[in-house]
Amino acid sequence: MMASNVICLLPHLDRVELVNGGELVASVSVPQAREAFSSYMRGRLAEDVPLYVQRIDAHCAVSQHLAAVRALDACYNASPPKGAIAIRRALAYAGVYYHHLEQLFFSRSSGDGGIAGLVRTDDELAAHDVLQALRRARDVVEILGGRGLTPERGIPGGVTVGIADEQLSRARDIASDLLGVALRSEEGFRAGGARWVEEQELSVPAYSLATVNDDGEASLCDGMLRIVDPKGSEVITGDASQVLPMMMEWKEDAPLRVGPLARLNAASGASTEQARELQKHLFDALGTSPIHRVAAGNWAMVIELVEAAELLSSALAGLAAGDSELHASLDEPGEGVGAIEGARGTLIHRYLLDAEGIVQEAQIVSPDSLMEADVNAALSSLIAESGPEVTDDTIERIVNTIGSYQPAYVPSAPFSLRIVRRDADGRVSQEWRRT
Amino acid sequence: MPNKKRLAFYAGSGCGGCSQSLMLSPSLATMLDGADIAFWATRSGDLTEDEISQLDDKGIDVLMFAGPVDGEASIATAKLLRRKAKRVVAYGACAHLGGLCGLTNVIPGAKLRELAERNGGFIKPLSAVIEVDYVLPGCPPPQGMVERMVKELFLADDVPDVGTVFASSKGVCAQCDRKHLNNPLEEIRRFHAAPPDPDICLLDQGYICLGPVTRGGCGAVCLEANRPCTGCAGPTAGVLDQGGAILQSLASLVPLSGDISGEKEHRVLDSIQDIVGTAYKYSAAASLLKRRVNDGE
Repeated sequence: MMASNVICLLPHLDRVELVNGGELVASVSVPQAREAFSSYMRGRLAEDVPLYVQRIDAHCAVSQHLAAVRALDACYNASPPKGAIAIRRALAYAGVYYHHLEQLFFSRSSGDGGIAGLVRTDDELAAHDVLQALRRARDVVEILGGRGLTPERGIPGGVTVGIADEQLSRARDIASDLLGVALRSEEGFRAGGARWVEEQELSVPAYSLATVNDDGEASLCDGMLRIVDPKGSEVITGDASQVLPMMMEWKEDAPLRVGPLARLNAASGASTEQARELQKHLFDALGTSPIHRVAAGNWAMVIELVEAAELLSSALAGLAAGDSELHASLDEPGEGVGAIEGARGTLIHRYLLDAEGIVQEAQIVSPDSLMEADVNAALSSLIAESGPEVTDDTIERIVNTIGSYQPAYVPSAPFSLRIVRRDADGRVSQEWRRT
Repeated sequence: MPNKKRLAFYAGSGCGGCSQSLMLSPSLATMLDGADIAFWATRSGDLTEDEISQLDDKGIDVLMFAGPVDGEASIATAKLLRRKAKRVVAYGACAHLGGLCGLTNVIPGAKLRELAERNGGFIKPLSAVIEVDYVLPGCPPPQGMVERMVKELFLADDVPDVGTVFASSKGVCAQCDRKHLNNPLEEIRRFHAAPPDPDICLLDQGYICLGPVTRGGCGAVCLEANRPCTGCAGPTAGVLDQGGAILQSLASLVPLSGDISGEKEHRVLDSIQDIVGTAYKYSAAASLLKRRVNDGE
């Protein structure tokens, strides 16, 4: 059920529907909510937009905040100063780290063993350490964003204020510890979850969308958007406004994929040294890019945890405390599109402002909506493979498959799910429940 | 350590921020050591009405309820949960005041109205449908307030008085370090064109800040980030309508024009844009405005 709280857009997936003994017709779709969202935002102050949208999904609040801020930059034709861009980038990396750590250890339900289900834990990496790391990642988000779970610092044209010297030093110290936890998580994953991923054969050829830097490497913040076809050949590279029309009217012969696995496929490689090294283990086990094994998204996410920590350390090292050039002048307001490579995948915001800087139209293209066809294709393949009987094993595979995409609509784990089979007349003929 | 308490967390809908704020509490492990968990439902789909019905009446010592309520289904769930719990905490701005979702009650928009009507009702604060014993405000609740709730509710021998709000009874201004100049309010400014001076009171600079009418205890973190307080912790004690209170405060800051027309006061106050989104961002559903009765689009 979709509540009328359109700002908190997490649609609650509680049902997968099967028709005629196997053909999947729907998982989740909330078009009314999308229209209502624009209605909700109409009349709001432009500078308040980043505060509203980050409450759509607190698991990805940083990504939502920054995507809105980048779209507002475009609305005002503003080029934020380097210092502001550096703070925003560091915030983006901290946000990806927080998201991935939370997903891996507290929101994932795949595999066996370990508190994450995917990462084998031992005395060296106990739940206490991970929770501590999650809190400290939240602290870094607070230092950079001004508030722990829901950042405040981004405004059109830059950021509201710089970072104090002692706060910056603290963030740097924390970042170094976070890299340690990330590396231990990756080791733990290879000891446990990697084999589980290798055993999951479900593979869905898809186009991959990701943000890449000037060298074609995966970006966990800003850059150009690139789409590659299922064989890895480039289809388009451009900024958000150039790529958005193609995404919105998707006519290709395979679905579009976003998120860690898409980043693995669309980019030439990770953008940091240790993450690039770690990707070799993945390629050794699963073959070369592009990889379409759905469960590999989990592995890619673990490597990105390391990448995000490396990027965060490097971004914090480059930040200057007390920088006063943090805001650019704004032109007259208009329409703007902005993208961020969010933790869950490419996230695009578009706003139309009136002459007073008041929102007239708002649109969010979220990773969830972009991955919808891909998730459905994966579930259809899975059901086709499993045969007509829905067993406990089928249900677990459905749950794990959906979980491999890290969609916002399954924020908790293990999540409950109903599987409903309808007959040719649309009547529910069978129902299974996983709680 | 007092006797083990049986606790539960329920988020009917929402963004997930409330459950994260609790998960990130440094006292979480201690709290869980001393408690049995009846359920931890971070979204409504995690728990069915049947499952709730099977629980003993008053079998839960403390239920933390996050997210707003709207239609019949969510109201019925809230009532059922109330029956099962000895004490209920309205956890976070949505349960406390309706939160950002509550704006849908008062802003124009046919789509919003359709959606609300399809779901059977408008956003309501939890206290409008069941008796609420405690309030943990904030969107999401800031760490200091979460810690206070955990300590007073789960780790102390004595339970706090019914009606406790786990926040300061003073306004956010009490924790704000900015210099107060007592400047008159000559014009309303918006900070998208240029960020404010980070050392001077925002109201003194002409920016609307809800700090004077909003419960403190958050550490004034938004002010430190050079953003105005937007009122997520709800009105200070004794204030009935948070939006009305800030508008009254603003009016009192406008210098008198010296003539009976009040032209200057009108000019300043009429220049406030998105007055509902500014003054009632989190509290529209709990305000005296209640809801829009005609569309006006």
